[in-house]
Amino acid sequence: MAQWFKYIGILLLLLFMQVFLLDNLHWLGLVHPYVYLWAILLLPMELPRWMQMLLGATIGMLIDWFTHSPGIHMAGCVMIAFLRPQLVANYVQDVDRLKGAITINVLGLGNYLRLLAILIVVHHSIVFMLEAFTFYHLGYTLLQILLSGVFSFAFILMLEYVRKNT
Amino acid sequence: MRNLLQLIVRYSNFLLLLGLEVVAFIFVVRGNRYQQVAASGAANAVTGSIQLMQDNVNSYFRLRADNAQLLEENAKLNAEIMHLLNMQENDTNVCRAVYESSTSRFRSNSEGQGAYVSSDLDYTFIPAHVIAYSNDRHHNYLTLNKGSRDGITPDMGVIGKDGIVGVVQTVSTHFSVVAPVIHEGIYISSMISKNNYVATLHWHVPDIRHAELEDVARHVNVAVGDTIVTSGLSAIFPANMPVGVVSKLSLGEGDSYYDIDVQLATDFHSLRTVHILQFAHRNELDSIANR
Repeated sequence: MAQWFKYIGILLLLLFMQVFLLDNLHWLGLVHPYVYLWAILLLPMELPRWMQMLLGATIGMLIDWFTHSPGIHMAGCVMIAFLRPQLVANYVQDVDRLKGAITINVLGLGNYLRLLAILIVVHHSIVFMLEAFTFYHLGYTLLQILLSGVFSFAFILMLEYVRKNT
Repeated sequence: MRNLLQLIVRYSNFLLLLGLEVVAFIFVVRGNRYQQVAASGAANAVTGSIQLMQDNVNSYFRLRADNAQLLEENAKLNAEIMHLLNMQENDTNVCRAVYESSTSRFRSNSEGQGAYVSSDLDYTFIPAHVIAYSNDRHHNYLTLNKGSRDGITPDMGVIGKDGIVGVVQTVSTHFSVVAPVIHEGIYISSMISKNNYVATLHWHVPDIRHAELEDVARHVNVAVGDTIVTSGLSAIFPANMPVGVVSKLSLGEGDSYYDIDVQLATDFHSLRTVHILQFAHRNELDSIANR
């Protein structure tokens, strides 16, 4: 129970950060980091997978609700909530017996960075492609994915270190 | 049958993934359609009041810029009054009527902020603040602090101090969401001021200072620096509202249409106060047009 309160606290904090700070950056019209997907990395692994996906969909819909972009973040979140256990299974032997969040302590730094990078690329690709909804400005979209991805990566790592040391 | 069930159980996670992605995709397609720009709760009370809270904090940090903007607008209005007064000397009766009707019909709405009635075509200007906006997406939006309570309905035009801003999409009691000119679903019926040639203005990412003027045929007399204004061919905007200025122009050897870049009159980076245009005879116009 205490674990869930902590999780909801972190989730609210992330939503707050996303909606009030990062969504207002508008750097060059290109950089739009999405740190809220850290919340999906922190979903407890002992939950059944369908539950993880439904929770991922819910988190995505919350973001969609605030950013007036129906379905876009939901699509990205569902995909990474589905992929996370699959990918973690590559790095950990007994993935079914894992409990709690996926953190640096669980995976080790190298594997954590790898997992984070893959999830961010998948998520950002879905989000920015769906937003553009055309391949007409593909170069621009790819640049958006790359630059935003780099910033999301840095922000999430920062958050992860803060979490680890508190 | 049992095999089928086993198959479904085995791939249940994958099927759930497909199901959820399809749902999300339906949301995306429905949400992207022009009329439903921000229909999914964009103008609802919860997000609206959170954005309002956010804006209340932010507004302290930009008081200086806002003041400057308002002063500038005041100056412009004063200049217009002077202009009208000068005209009055030439044609006393008509212009006095125009000037007096635009000042004496000043009235207040529920919040005590004035809405004033434009003299010529029965447009009412309702002042509003931008409380949230985006400018880095394909489908940008603005949220305004006026809603159905203040008489706002969808499809009303919105203008800023420099020119047109956008079109109201969805409305709740206290808020409304506007699709600005910098929204890829918005097409503005415009014309070249000097010869009244009508064309369509359309924007696409990423440059929020420039849009394209489409459908200008080869034979048309157009040059860099020409002013583009609204055509007045819809009830959304009256004619001759500033849209922008032609900034780049090209015509290939075999092209039948120009490629025209228009620098938009409105700077969406620093837009804080706007006016919503309420057209008095809207229902009448709609009903006669659809007859």
